[in-house]
Amino acid sequence: MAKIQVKTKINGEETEFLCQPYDTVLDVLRRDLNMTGTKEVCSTGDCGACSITMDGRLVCSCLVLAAETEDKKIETIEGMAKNGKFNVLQKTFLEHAALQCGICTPGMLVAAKSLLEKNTNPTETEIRYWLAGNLCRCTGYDKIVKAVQAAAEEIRENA
Amino acid sequence: MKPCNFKYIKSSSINEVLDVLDIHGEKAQILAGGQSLISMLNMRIANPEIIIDINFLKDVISLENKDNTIEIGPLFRQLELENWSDLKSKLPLIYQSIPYVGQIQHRARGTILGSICHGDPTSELPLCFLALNGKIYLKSKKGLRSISANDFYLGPLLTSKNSNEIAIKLEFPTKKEATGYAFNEVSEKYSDYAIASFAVVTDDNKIRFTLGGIPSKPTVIEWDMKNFEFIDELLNDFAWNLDIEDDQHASATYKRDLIRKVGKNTILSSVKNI
Ligand SMILES: Cc1cc2nc3c(=O)[nH]c(=O)nc-3n(C[C@H](O)[C@H](O)[C@H](O)COP(=O)(O)OP(=O)(O)OC[C@H]3O[C@@H](n4cnc5c(N)ncnc54)[C@H](O)[C@@H]3O)c2cc1C
Ligand code: FES
Ligand code: FES
Repeated sequence: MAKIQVKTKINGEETEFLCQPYDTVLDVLRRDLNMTGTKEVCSTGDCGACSITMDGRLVCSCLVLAAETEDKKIETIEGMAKNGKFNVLQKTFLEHAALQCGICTPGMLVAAKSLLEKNTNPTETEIRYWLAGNLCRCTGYDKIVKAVQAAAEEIRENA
Repeated sequence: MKPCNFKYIKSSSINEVLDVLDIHGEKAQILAGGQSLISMLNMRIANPEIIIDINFLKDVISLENKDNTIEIGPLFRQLELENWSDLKSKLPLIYQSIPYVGQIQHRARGTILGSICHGDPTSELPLCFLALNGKIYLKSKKGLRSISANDFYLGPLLTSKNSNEIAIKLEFPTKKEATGYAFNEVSEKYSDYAIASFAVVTDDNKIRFTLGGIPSKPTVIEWDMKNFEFIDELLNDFAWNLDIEDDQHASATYKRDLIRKVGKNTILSSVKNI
């Protein structure tokens, strides 16, 4: 079957790729564009490890067809560090030991970043509500929540 | 697992969608938010020959605030409704239930109409649609028809929408005077699929009680407000009439108890809201 040509913007860069109708964005990112930071765990929307943003909204890349990204703006974990410098969330995740195996971490970071872009002073409940779609099987959520709170505090101080 | 192969058609007009549906019927599936469909494709529970992507449709409404109704079009996302500033005052029942619909990621893509058409018996929006007795507008090459929520759900993931039809609009009646609305849900963890969910609308005359999660489709019963003092018996009879079975999540006894206790609490909250 004929492949589909898609033009989209990924982490600020104009990108063109060919995909099969049944490819998800996740497939194309990891397999064709060598952006393996975004993780695949369940492929059913349950774990959030594949979280990216599309036109500024947090989505599961396993539940969006690659063909649907035509003319969209995609942001992935690869776009988070700028000029070789960690985003504040990446730094606080390290400082708070908010990761162990690291499989959930890219999704957690992308999700937390999209929260802090909307709200730089979230309550613990708001953080847990926002991250409810991101599962972590090893760290436990306390350290992750603390890392997000610390990042929020730093963003507020530097504002 | 990865999806089966299919032909992908991106449609920009309703008429184009209707042409494809008319020719291919059940072999074609509409893709809206994809939050149920793509997950079913990934698991190969769904194996369509054609996917019609409606995300690029131009000739559809988003949300329209009419005198007594809120009209919603096929691309209006759940998250957009959640963020709508008038939601609490216009649709208090939806306001209470929408945080339970999956997580942020799913609501960002998932559409209101997609959830209503998917008709999962554990889903919150179909339940509220039934509690409010909203109306859905279905279009095919033959014309346009509307169905009230009372007549829409037939069974698990089964609705009276035909395979040659697309839902182009949904109407929710807006909050009425002297009417109370309440929603409640019991699940294994917050925002997981409902073991039992309750949406209740009450006014001086009647109690409209809807139950999701336990029966195979959202189910409604109405009681006269005059019988309010017998509510325990009425709920108990309703629970026993449902033919409830044990499953891996909960025993039949527990589920009947949820109907009696959480069901009653939901009725009491809605009466308090009148
Ligand atoms: C991990 C996870 C958790 C979830 N948890 C919940 C939950 O707690 N509660 C809940 O209610 N839902 C939940 N969902 C489902 C979610 O709400 C879906 O968004 C919704 O059920 C379907 O909407 P959609 O727009 O994504 O539709 P799609 O997935 O695109 O389509 C679903 C079905 O409806 C049909 N369809 C869609 N739009 C139309 C239309 N306009 N006309 C005719 N047919 C149409 C499609 O052909 C398909 O058969 C969850 C999903 C995931 C992945
Ligand atoms: S891989 Fe997408 S949510 Fe788990
Ligand atoms: S660090 Fe292993 S899943 Fe979260």
